[in-house]
Amino acid sequence: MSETPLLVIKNLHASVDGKPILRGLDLTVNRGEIHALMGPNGSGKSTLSNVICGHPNYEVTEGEIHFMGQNITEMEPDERAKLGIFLAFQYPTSIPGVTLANFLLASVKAIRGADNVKLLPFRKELVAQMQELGINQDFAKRYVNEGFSGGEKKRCEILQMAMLKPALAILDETDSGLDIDALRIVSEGVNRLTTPEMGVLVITHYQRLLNHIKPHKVHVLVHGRIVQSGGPEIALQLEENGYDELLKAHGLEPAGV
Amino acid sequence: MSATLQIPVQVQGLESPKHKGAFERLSSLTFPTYRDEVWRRTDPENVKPEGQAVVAPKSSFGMLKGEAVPAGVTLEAIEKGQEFIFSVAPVAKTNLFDALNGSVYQGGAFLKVGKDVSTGEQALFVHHHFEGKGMAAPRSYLEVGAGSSVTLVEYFTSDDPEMLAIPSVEVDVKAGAKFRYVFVNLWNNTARVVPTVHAKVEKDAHFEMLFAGFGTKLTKAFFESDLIGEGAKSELLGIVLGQGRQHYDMDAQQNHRVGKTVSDVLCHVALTDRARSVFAGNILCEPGAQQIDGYQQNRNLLLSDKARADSMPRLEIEANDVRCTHGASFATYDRDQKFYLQARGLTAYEAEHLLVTGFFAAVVERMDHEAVGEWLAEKLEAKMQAALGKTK
Ligand SMILES: Nc1ncnc2c1ncn2[C@@H]1O[C@H](COP(=O)(O)OP(=O)(O)OP(=O)(O)O)[C@@H](O)[C@H]1O
Ligand SMILES: [Mg+2]
Repeated sequence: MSETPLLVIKNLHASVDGKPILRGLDLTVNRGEIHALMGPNGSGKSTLSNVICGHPNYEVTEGEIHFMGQNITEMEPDERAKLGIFLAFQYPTSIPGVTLANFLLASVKAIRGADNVKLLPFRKELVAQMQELGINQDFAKRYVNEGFSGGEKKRCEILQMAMLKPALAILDETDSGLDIDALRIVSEGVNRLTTPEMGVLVITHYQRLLNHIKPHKVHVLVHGRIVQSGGPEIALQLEENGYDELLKAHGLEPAGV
Repeated sequence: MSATLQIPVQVQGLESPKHKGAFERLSSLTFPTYRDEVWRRTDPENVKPEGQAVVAPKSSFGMLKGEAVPAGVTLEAIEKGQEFIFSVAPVAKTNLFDALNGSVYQGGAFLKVGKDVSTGEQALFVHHHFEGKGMAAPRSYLEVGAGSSVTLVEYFTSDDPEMLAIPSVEVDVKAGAKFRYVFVNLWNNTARVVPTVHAKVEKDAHFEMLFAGFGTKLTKAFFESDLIGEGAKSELLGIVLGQGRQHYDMDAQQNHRVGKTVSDVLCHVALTDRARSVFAGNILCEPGAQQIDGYQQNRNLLLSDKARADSMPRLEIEANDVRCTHGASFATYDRDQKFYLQARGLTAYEAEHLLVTGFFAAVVERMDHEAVGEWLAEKLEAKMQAALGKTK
């Protein structure tokens, strides 16, 4: 049974302002798989998620990204989103003057097609999803991420995932800034939203998230490359030992940002 | 550099004492150079009069939605209110452009509102349109009587792509009155404009001005408020959309002449292409003036790598016994916001459109006037389609 993988990244090199960050990265995510991506600060995890989504600050200098069999390396960010790629940002930006409700309506329309979105069902769905994620209904009227606490921002990222129902969800340190209860609510939300048709790439520094969202595979990114891949046991080993040995094994200085 | 100033030839009004007084003041001034502090970022040579004839506007005076002007309101051409000119801004203290305006002005609005009049949900509306080549020098005097609550939209448009415009506005908000004033700077896209707005805000009065800058090649604006009675409040709101090589330079001066006064400046600037903006805010607290609140906020949304915005907040306290709460916040938003929206499926155009709409709505909502908000949104929509369509 050879199904087309959801995401295939081949020998990806990317730089920002001429400075290379990703240096030959390979990764394949199939439907129904949850992958965890770990790695020291500055190793390129957020860069990878931004590059998958087409952030204009990053230049792909070599390699390719395929999604559902299509080469998306040169695509506009919105085209990728419409294909079903979703990124929960590590640092969601605020958008003054645009309410969360209007923002979600605009993006749901963009993703599902304006003709397929009716206002009343949209509102009902939004209310229900906010309840599930423990987000106060008042947030719908607030400007996107403006004055939100760190944890509130992260919950709203998952709310967006819930509304947009992507085929590939990349969660960039969604656990950072969450209190213990929120971590559980958000992880449960992600698990509830994850269908067998979907792929998930979870970027995290901590095992505690992986206790809730159980990965099938774990990868370690160091200095712009995946240097180790395996099962969930890798995350546990890293929790024990840190990155020093891995870094040394690849001739890199430990813990330098 | 010796700055010689050519005065436009048509100075037919000069026989009136107001024109003469202004002309005397003008004659005592030298034309600024870029070495002057306030002209650092906008070369005054670009707005130098070159002997153009002064053109009078075609003006209409009425209400935004065509209703009848309420009783107690006089709204007509400035020529009917000449006696009040320079009562807010003494002629001896005017800047060169205001003095020049006073020497040659033609057209403008004269608003005099009696006591306890309200325009409620409605708004007074003045449209000045300038046709033909030359220099525009309209002058408005706007006075809102004690206890009144009035909204006025003054809307400036022009045809001449070469036009130099130097509008001056004097505002007097009497005790306990509230005056919402919307200055719509929608001249020809290549016009050069130097507006001066000077307001006097009396005891317990509230002046709320919204400056909407959607047109012009170059605008160098001077806004000044004098808070002269306790309980006075001056709010200056700004929304500016720059495209191409448009240049906006705004100078907001809030003078707390007495204590227990509030000033609040909020300016949102969105720039595409190679547009450029400068915002300089200054809060002045006079000696002995206690319990002053002064806020300045300038946020800039850069939609292109080549656009540039500068913010310069200043605070002058002339005595050390002043208690002044002073909050200044400056923020620049760039590609991350647009990317955030695009990552949620919006096209580049849709993303910029939503960003700019929201960015301005955050300011316009502060004014809390539905009819004016809708009218402005319509004007903005047309401008946005032109400005954002290009950067796609
Ligand atoms: N826009 C940018 N401009 C300049 N440098 C950048 C930019 N984006 C990323 N970098 C640099 O690229 C490197 C990788 O950054 P990235 O954010 O991908 O790391 P990360 O693995 O996500 O780290 P963390 O665990 O701290 O989130 C860092 O050295 C960072 O400073
Ligand atoms: Mg990161």
